[in-house]
This record gives sequence, C-alpha cells and structure tokens, in this order.
Amino acid sequence: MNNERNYNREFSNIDVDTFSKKCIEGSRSSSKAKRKEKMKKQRMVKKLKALAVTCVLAGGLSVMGINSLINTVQNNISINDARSDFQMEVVRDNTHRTQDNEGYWYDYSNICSLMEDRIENGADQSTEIYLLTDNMGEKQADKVLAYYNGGTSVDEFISERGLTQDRWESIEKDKIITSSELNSKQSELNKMMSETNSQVNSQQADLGRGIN
Amino acid sequence: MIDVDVYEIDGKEYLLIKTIKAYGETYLYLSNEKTEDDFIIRKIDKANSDFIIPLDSEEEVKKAALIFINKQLED
Repeated sequence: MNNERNYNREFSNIDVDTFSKKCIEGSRSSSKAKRKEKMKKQRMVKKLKALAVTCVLAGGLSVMGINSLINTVQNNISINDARSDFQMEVVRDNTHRTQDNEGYWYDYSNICSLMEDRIENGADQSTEIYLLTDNMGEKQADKVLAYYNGGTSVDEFISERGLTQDRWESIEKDKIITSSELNSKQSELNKMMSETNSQVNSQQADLGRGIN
Repeated sequence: MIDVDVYEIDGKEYLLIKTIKAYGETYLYLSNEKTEDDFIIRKIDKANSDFIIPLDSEEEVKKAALIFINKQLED
C-alpha cells in the first residue's frame, strides 16, 4: 500500500480528461520524425512508467493494479536492457550479411570469445547463455556453444541443471531483474555518498576559513 | 543513452515512446519533449501513411490505452 501511495503521489499531475481530449483533438501531422534526440535510459523508464499510469487511468482500470503494473513495466525494461546490451556488445559486430544479401552469417568463435570475456568479468554464465539463446535462437546458440567449455548444447546445459526450458528462462529473467534492482540501489547509494562527501568537504572548507 | 524520434504535432515537439500495431492500426505513444507527464496518442493515417492523425473518439483512446497496458504485460 505504501508503494501504491507513492505512485499516486509521483503521478498526481496526470490529468486523464485532458489526455483524452488531446488524443482526439488537433490536426494531422507528418509521420516522418523531425529529428532524433539522445535520451538517458532512466528518463525513458520514468516516461514509460508515467505513460503506463496514464493508460491505466484512461483505460478505466482500477488504480489498485498500478503497483503491479509498474513493477511489470520496470521488470520488462530491465530484461529488454539486458537483451539489448548483449546484442550490442556480443552479437552485433559479429553478424554479417551473406553474399546474396538474403541472410546472415555469424562469427561464432568471436561471439563465444566476447561472451567468455563478460563471464570472466563477473557476468553470470547461465544468464549469458540465456541471452545468447534469446538473441540468436537455440540452433545458432548451439553453434556458439560448440566453442565454449567442451561444446555443450543449450538443451544439455538446461537438462544438466534438472530444469525445463520454461523454468530456466524464468529463473534467468528473475536474475536479470534482481541484478538490475541491485545496480539501481548501488547507484542511489553512490549518489548519496557523493552528496554526503561534498557536504563534508564544504563544511571542512568553512571550518578552515573560520580558523584562518 | 538511447535514440528517440522527435515529432512535431500542433506546433509542439513530442518524443516517440512506443509504437504498437494492433487491430489494423498503428498507434504512436508520444510524450511532450518539455513536460514529463504530458502524453498523447496518435495513429498512422491508413489513407495516407505519410501522416499521423488524432484518434477518432474517447472510446478509441480507451482502446489504445488498454492496448499499451496489454503490451506492457505480455512483453
């Protein structure tokens, strides 16, 4: 309930009547984007949350569901971020067009090597294999894993852990969400510490001036 | 950082937050560039895809809002 109250307070500026009117009024405009703009992920997350709340209210749904909806939105964003980071860091530069331009080929060895680097730098092995499979499909992921740790296939990797594919995917998604929450808490903590340090430095400077 | 498309609608700039195709329509969920909680929904004009147009009615706003929620829950 506390979270519910917090969300209600955070999004108290949302006016559904005005929103509905603005959606049906106005003139037509070009479907071509005027320009592109860079946006921080956190700002996009905030906008998606606020849009979700607006849509809950505009859709006539109960506000009691907002808390769980916001959590779902946040979780989906975390999972999509992890997928996108993996794609950018591991797969993208190792994906090439075939000569006839009709398909793609992958540099499996390089993909494996970049994935191993991430694991050596602290990424969870099972989560990395989940992201690999999600990104390339199981057949292609098997070809990458042929270069990894004795050549276990995705199926073998899952069954060695006594899991079904669905259960494994669910566990990996939970791990991504938890890791994202921890990172977010860590950055909040870092921000708080940095603010405290600057306050202390400022007080020490004031004291120094007092002594002189 | 992520790249976001900026559209000009009725003299104001809006950031494209989400595009969803559903029930034969393409809905665009946009946020005012300057105001964090100011949103609008538009759709691609089926008669001329070079344009985006307002929704037809409050009922369609409700429908587009529910489509967004549904998409968030199923993604």
